[in-house]
Amino acid sequence: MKLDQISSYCDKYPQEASNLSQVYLDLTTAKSWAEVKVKDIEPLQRCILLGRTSKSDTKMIIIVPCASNEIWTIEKITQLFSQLRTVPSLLLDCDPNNIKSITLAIAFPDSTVVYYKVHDGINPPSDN
Amino acid sequence: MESSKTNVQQPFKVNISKNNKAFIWDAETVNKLRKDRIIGSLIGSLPRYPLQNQLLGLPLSLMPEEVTLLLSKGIIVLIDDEKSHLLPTKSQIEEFEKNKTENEEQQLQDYLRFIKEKRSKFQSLKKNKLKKNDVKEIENITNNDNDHNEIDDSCSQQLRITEHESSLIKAFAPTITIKTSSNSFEWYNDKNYCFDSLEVARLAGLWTWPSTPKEKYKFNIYCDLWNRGYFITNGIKFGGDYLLYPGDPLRYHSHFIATIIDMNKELSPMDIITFGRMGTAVKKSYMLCSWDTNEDKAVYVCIEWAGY
Repeated sequence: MKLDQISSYCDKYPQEASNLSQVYLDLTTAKSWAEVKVKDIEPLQRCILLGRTSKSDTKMIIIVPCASNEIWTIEKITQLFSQLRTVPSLLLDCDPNNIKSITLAIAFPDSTVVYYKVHDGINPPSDN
Repeated sequence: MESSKTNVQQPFKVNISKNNKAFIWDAETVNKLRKDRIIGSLIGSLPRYPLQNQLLGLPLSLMPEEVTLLLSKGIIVLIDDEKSHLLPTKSQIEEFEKNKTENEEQQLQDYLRFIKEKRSKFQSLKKNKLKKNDVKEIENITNNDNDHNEIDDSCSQQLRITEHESSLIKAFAPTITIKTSSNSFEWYNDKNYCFDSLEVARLAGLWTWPSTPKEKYKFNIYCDLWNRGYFITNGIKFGGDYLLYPGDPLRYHSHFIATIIDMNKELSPMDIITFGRMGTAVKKSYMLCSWDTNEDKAVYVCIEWAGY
């Protein structure tokens, strides 16, 4: 059962349980990503997902599930990045100091999940 | 007509209007400021093309950030526009009216001469017996009556010409030229109302931007972006504070829509969706800018739609 992988994390962080499970299901079943791993980030008191869209992709994408009524501020975003950078590299499968962007996965009550990249710093548009 | 080769030098003159707006009325200055990556915005209607706003002319309007930056670098000086325009004296007014009347009279004489030349051209063409179509074109210009006998009594012809001329004079509308710059007027003198630094301008009460804490950190962020080499213009067309270009806006599309917000401004996920979707739809990156007062530096966060 797909949700077995994340059930322990849902128990640990009950506030984040519905967001985490919604995004996890969306990525694994609806978006059919090749690889999705759950990582517990204690300093943030939430879990993030590390994923790869297809087998050929080299870079792991950091997905941060969040609720549709969660309030963000620039302060909170910069803290998110600085906390992620303190995580040991083994946990994240990449050099934490190099983390320049994350993908915010916003989960809605009607089961819609939308993904928005948040870059730390000045990042030119990719298709200009 | 003012000389077009004045070779204006720094510091450039920027006129501050009574309602604290900064305008540049000289085309050469507008051009030279582009070298300092200051673009501004042309806001003047073109007299010959009034019912459009795709192409506008002088004056150039500067953002408060641009004025403060340029003034702090000594590239511009500020002129108190209201005080520089003195009340004209009686003799100055008389001189002005006299020149105006002379100019209008000259225009009228030029116009009448033009009509006379056309008429004589028509007469000579008629004598050469050109095709009726060619003649018709010149007829419309000279308003000549075609039904009249070709061999006319010279006296009655003269009378008709005089009547015609008086109706032309009545109908004539002279062109009135309104000068773009006030420099040529004798009652304009900006020497005593010229301010070359932020402190001096602030003391005089002419230019006090930035004054609130929000304006101050908005200026800090603007300077930081300018120092990074961007060309910055107003971002109202895309719902932001600024648009950032990697080069001259005449050559490039903007890469960023920059909006300045407080570090603790609450953003809902809907806001993030709004910024991200809009930025990506117009091939730009939506950049949220904030000033970190603790570390005294600018913080930037870019939002992009992820197409998963």
